[in-house]
Amino acid sequence: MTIAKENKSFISKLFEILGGIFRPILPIMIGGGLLQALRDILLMTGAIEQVSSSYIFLNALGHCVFYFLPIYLAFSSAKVFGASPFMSATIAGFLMYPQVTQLFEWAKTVGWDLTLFGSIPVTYSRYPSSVLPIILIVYFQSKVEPLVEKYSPLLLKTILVPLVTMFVTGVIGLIIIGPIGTWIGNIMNILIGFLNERSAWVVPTLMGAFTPLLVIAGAHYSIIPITAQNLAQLGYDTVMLPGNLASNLALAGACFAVAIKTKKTKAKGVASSAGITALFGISQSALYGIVVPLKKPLIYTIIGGGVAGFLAGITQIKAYSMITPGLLSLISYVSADEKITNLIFAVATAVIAFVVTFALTWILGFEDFKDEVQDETN
Amino acid sequence: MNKRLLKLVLLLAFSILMLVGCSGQAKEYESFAPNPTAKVGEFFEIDSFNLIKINTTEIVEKGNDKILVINYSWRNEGTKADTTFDNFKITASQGGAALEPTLEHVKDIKKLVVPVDVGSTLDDIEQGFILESDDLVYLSILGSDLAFMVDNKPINPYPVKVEIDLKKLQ
Repeated sequence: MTIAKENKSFISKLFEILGGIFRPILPIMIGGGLLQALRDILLMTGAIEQVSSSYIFLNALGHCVFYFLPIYLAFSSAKVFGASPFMSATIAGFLMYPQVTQLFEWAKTVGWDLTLFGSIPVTYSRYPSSVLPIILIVYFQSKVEPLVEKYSPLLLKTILVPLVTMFVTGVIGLIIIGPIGTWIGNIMNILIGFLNERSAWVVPTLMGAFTPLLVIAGAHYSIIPITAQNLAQLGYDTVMLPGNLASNLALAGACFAVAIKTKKTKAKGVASSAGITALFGISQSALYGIVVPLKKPLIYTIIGGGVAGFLAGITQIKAYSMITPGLLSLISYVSADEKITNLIFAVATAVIAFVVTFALTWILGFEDFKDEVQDETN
Repeated sequence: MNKRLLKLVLLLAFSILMLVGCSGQAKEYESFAPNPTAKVGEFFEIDSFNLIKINTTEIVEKGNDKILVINYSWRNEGTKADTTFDNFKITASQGGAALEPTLEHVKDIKKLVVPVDVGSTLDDIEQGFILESDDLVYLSILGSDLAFMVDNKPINPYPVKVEIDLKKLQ
């Protein structure tokens, strides 16, 4: 009983931590994603060329969000863990320092075993665009910093705290925590890659079906690290974004069916506006205002989202940027590296999610609201 | 009124600058692109700053592994003293699969990180690769140029390839 209680609190704490780390950087991830989509549209329309200074500048403007992701993550992780944000960002900067990155790449190319002080082995890791290593390193920093603060003489605090914290965190991060974070990240990538290769439909189907439950549990932020890592390292995501597209459009379908079928005047308005916001990827009002209170539409949303997620999975659609999954996000399925079928299947995923859920809600029906509902969308 | 006038002048000046920027003849760029393939025993360009010569290749056996050791020279044609580390990457493949690099049997690994003066040549640099089969090995040597110029247009840089027939070495 106690264990179950502790587990629950640990999991909810983990969700809270991940949410706290990723929520502040979501706007730049969306902005960066849209800029990358703009870059690809300009490339496809011939407005810019692949090998040109315009391409390099535009590419850098969008891609810098993902390349320097560890720096933003360091800053937001520090705020969550209670470490000094600028010191955390400095550690991230150290790991991504151009010559350090180049040294790792070069050592890997020639087979050179890197060491620190001539004897401590340094395992190959690639830090630009990485997610997990810096979060673990900042967590470690949050434990080191108070200790150094506590044991430093008052007069030397301003010197010793940054010096010792940065040195210990930087060195331990480089030789132990960074490689561990990289291995965990690699294992996650291998697992997702394995699932995508063997049964590509599984993850998008589950995401399409169960995203509403993840949102209710507040667990949807726990998937963002995987998506962020996929976008940063592979350049696309097949895990969360296609599944969420299916889920949000299914919610919209359910809401519009409710809007038409309900006898309550206010509920019609609430369901319509919740449906519109769900179409654009904002799911909360649809979830809490319509499908959860009516229960059956939630089941239809799970079925419709699952069916569309299955289509997204078997067609292996790839989202090339982080845009709130909805109609506007369809632009993220356009890429200069991808065939137009990727966009066509993304549109099909959205349409099927909407139509299936709308039809289920329309045909199988639901128990109408007993009283008029309050507008939750405002 | 003055503000409107100022805005008008600024807009006019901006438009003139734009027109000046767009007019005039396009600048001619010096065309540079290395030969995509090269041979063992002769110097070849890999970009604007580096010349490479593969001197010798040999197969060394270690346990069950066969290691291809290549010996090469590098001439620094850049603008400052530099190391191999900052300038180019040599990779090898067999049947399209990348070979694992190794520094086993390399006599002086420090040559990989020694700075070389502008215009000087560093000889007898070595690099090993663990062989997977007796098939042809392709070395790919990629320099540090951001783009190559072909017909006055920039293109993506490509590695220079050197073919090594292992049967001739055994």
